[in-house]
This record gives sequence, structure tokens and C-alpha cells, in this order.
Amino acid sequence: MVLGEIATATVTAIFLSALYAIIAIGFTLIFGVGGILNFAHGAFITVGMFAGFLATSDAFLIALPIWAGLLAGTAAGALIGAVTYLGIIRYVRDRPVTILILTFVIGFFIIYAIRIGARDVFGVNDPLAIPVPQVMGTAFLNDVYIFVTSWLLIGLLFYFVNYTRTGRAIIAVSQSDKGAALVGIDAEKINLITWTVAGAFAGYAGVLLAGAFGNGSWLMSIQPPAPLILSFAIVILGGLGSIKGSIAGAYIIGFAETFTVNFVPGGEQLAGVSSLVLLVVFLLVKPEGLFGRGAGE
Amino acid sequence: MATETPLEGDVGRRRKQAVKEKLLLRDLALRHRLGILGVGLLALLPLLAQPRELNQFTYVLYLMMFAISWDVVSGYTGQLSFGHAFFFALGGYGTSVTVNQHLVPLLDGLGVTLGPVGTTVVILAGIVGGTLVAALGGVLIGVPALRLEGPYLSLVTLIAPLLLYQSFIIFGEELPVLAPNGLGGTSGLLNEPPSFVGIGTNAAVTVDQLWVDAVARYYISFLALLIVLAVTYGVTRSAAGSVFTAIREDEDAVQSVGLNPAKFKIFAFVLSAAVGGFAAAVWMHAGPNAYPNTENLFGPGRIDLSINVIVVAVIGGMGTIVGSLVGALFFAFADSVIGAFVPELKPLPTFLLGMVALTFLPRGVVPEATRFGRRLLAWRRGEVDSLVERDRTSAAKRTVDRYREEIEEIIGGEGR
Repeated sequence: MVLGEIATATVTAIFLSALYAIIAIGFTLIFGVGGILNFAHGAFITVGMFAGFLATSDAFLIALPIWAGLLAGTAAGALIGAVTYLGIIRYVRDRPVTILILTFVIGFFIIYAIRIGARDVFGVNDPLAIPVPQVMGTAFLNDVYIFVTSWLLIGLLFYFVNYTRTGRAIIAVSQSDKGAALVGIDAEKINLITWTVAGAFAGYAGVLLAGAFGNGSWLMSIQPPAPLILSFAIVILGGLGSIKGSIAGAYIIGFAETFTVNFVPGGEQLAGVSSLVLLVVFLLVKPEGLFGRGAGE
Repeated sequence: MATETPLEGDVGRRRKQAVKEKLLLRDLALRHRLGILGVGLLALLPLLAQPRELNQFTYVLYLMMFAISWDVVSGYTGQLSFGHAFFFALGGYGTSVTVNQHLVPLLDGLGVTLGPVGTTVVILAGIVGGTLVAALGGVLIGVPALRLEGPYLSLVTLIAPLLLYQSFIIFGEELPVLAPNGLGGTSGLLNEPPSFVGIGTNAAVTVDQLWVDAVARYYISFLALLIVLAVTYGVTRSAAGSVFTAIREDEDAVQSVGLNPAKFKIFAFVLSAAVGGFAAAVWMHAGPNAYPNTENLFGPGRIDLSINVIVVAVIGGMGTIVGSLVGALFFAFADSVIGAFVPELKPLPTFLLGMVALTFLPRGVVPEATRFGRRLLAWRRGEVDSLVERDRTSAAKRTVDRYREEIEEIIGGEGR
């Protein structure tokens, strides 16, 4: 019986971790290339969720199927990433303290804008519960879908980064922007691409996350499972700037969380909190992460 | 005499002399006189305002104190805190719980009926309790701050209020020993703590007119602001303040002169936390809307108050203390203008203001104004010919500077 429970928990954990991996990848990318810890990441995820909601609700003429919602979320995430970089980050890149505060304020600016948009423009009753449908009919199939696309996207990203010219340029910039400039890489363009790709991942993750947890919320970036903090946790656990490390980190956090919720007495109340505690402990004990910041692959 | 080092001779006498010289009003720089004038004007504000406006403005005083609290640690030592509401909540809940769940039941149990003096003493004890709780919170955040730097610390400070919020829910009914009646969950503590001055019975001094109530609340809050200002101004203008700034610039340099940055960082955190907790504690007994709930002490979105405080300090100028006062005025002005025209857009415009200030005026209003004022004075004395500053360094020097910067960046080995 206990074995059965462990098996069920393991399956849940694997599915959950796949979702977490998508959430964290965009964050890793931006850090790896620009050295920026993007506190607006949670807001990008929220934007994706909201675009998914708009596409699938009847706010515009017809309610589209969830596939269109996923597409809309991804596109909206990519757009907001690109706009944030082009509009603001580009100008303050050499001032680390400013960037930190700016991404933080930008992030909350965006989610407040979403709250106001949801409540006053699109007439959502409760901006804390914005309905976004699941991708698949049943919860299990939905989990499988998330798992499969998660690994598919990770594979594509690996291929992109390691085997295409643009991807290699990204690695080059992450290693040294001066060296990259010497061989003719336009760092500005690479940064823009990174922010766009990261935004797209975030947007996609937003739709999936909201679907998997029943509904989205304007505060979702800091409400359990708090993707903003989660991605920090994952990325710090795995080592900053390493994609492989982030995937490992996602699975560690996913497993830790599922097992706390299932096997620790009174664990339900700890959902979303356990990863935070794990993060704080990890930050204090091994701040450089499991994989460290090696090559910025 | 000329060769006397700072440690020779009668140090105590010279120290006294220096303090006296600093306190002489007639020798104060113009900006300090302007500052004193500004504080004086704040003190006279109740002469002009209606009770309702005055209540709104009293809140601004608390915003100032909160921003000062942030500035002490983040503006001076550069340890960015993204969740300062953690300390405010500790202070506010600390005093409410101390008064309502410990002192009042205890005194009731002893059969003591509290007169005005007794209630005041109980309130003061509560404020001390709240400040201590917040200071403990400062230690709690300050110790990890020794191992973490930059964004990691900011992250921990962002998580802290979220965890606290969760624990208010988890211990909503009862927190053994510390808070026998619980922390009230999301709706906050329904039992309001007694006020210094109030209209109802739940106050040390009962008054019957709205304006007396508003004016009294204003001046008590103003007194708290003066205390906060005196403490933080004193510390940041002392040698400790220089060390704070030095930590922000280069921690290794601080170590190399034999000072322990860890000690100063913890000190900064505890001071900041105590100031924030004190302000929140006074608010619970003297402020407008003094309800100890999460909406007041964290902000409606759990994190807004923390952001607002940052925006206020950034607009005014980080690392100046005084900037927080000016920033809060700007913030409140913007907020009330927006509230009058497009209330549904709140708080977007104030965040936008913060973003614009960060991008285009990163040093803040007060330092820029000081710089401009100096320029103006120099212009009046005829030392410079134009009010607008021009880059007067030669092209060759600029080029050399740029190269030096690049080389230092390459051989610095600091990483990113």
C-alpha cells in the first residue's frame, strides 16, 4: 500500500517537475546571457496566462479552442519579453542595482495592469480566479501533454542553442560580450532574441500552469506555487545560467514538494512553502548551486 | 598642533567641540536650513487642512517613515530589500498582539482598571514590544544577508513577507504562547488596539470632535517621524553611516581597513527593521485606519507596500534619508491626483513614476536638486557662466578614461 502511494507520488512529481522546468527555463536563459536576474519573470508568465484566457473566453467575438490559447499565450509572452528589453532594459544594462529594482517594479506594474484589465475592461468577476481551460480533457492526459511538450521544448532549445548559428552566438555572448563583439556578433540582437525566447517560454508556461491548477490569477507569480520564486529556487538550486542545472533543479523541487505534501503530516498546508524553505536553506548552504555557472549553455 | 593625529590630545573635548559646531544653526548650509524649514512647514500643516485631508496626510507621514526604514538598509548599504513590509507587519502585529492578547488580559486578570495614564503606558509597552519583534526580524534577515549578496538577498527578502503572510493564515486561530488568540488569517486582527487619542471608548484620551481627533493623531505621528528622523539621521551621518556607504561601494575595501562588514550589515538591518516596526506600531495606535490587517501592513496585493516604499525612496534619492520625505510627498501628490481623475488605474501611475525616476533620474530628486542648487549658488557668485553643466573635460582625457575603464573591467576579475 505504501509502495503504491510512493509510486503515485512519483508519477505526480514527474509531471509537476516537467511543468516547473518550462517555468524556469526562460529565467535561466536571461540570466545566462545578460547576467540579469529577471524579477519580472512571474509577470511574463501571468501575461501568457491572461492571453490564453482572452483567446479562450468570449471576450473577443468567439471563444477559440485552447490550442489557440496556448499559441496566444506564447506569442504574448514573447512580445512582452521583447518590449521589456527594447523599451527599458536596454537603456540601463550597465547599472545592476537599477536593473534589479526596475525588473521588480516592471513585473508588478504588469500584473497590476492585468488585474485592472481583467476587472474593468474584460469584466472578470474575480481577478484572483481567471478561468483558463486545460489542454486535454482529463487531468491525466493533460499531465502527459505537459510532460511531452516540456521535454520536446527542452530538446528543441538544446538543439537551437548548441547547433544553430544564432544559438552559438547566444553562448558566445553569455561567455564574454567583448569576445563576441570581436567576432562580429551583435550583442544587442542576441539579447533581444534571448528575451523574446524567454518570454515565449514564460507565456507558454503561464497557460499550462493556469490550466493545470484550475485557474489563473493576477497574483499568480507570488501565490503558491509562485512561479517567480519557484524559478529562482530552481535556477539557484541547479546553478545559475545552466540549462541542464535548471532542469535538474526543477525535478528536485518538484519531487521535494510532492513528497512533502503527500507524506509529511499536515503537508497540504505546506504546498508552495516547502520549496521556499528548501530554497532558503540551499541559498545559505550552497549558494553556487549544483552545477555552478560554467559555460552558459 | 598641526601634526596632532585624531587620537592624540583631549579627544573627548574635541569631540564635544565638533558636535557643538555641527549644531550651530547659523553655520548650517543652505540645504539644511531649507530642510528644517520644510519640517517646520510639516508641523504647521494642521492649520490649513480639513480633518479628512489631514487624515490622508497623516498616512503620508507613515509612508515617509517606512521609506526611511528601507533607505537605511538598502539605500546606504546597498543590500536591496524587496519585502520590507515584513518588518512593518511584525511591528504592527507585534504591538497589537502584545497589547490586546497579553497586557490587557493580564491586567484584567489582576483586576486593574486602566485610566488614561494606564492605557498610555500599555500602548507604549506595546510599541516597544512591536519594535523589538521587528528588530528580531531584522536579525533574522540580517544573518542570511551575510552570506548572500545582490539579487539572492533581494529574493530572500521578497520571500520573507510571503512566508509571514502564510504563517498568519496557518496560525490564524492560535499561536501557542506568543499569540493566544491567533493572528486572524487573511482578514487580520479584528480586535483593534487602543489608540492614544480617539473618538470611541477604546482610547487613552477620549475626544468628541473629529478635528481634535485628526489633529492629535497627526501630531503623535509627526512626533514619531521626528524620532525616526533623529535616530536615522544621527546614525547615517555618523562614522557608521560612512561605513554603510562603503559597504555599498566595496565590501573588500571595508575589510581591508580592519572593519567588519558583517557587524555593520546586521546593525543596518536591525536598525532598519526597528525603525519600520516602530513606525508600524505607532500607526496601529495613532494612525488613520489603524487596523492591524494584512491589507494595511502588506498592501492589498501582499507586496504593494514593499514596492511603494521602494518607489518613494527611489524618487527622493536613495541613501539620503531626507529623500524619503520628499519622495513621499511626490508619491502622495501623484497618488491623490490620480485618485481624483482615474482612480481605477491605481497603482499603475505611481509605479510608472518609479520606473521613470529609476531610468532617467537614478540618483533621485534630492541629490539632483542639491547639485543644481550648488550650481545656482556658484553661478550667482560668478564662478561658472551657465546654469547647465557642460562636459568640460578634453576629448583626449575622455578617451583615456574610457580605455582605463575598459581595462579595469577586463583585469578586474570581478565577473559580472
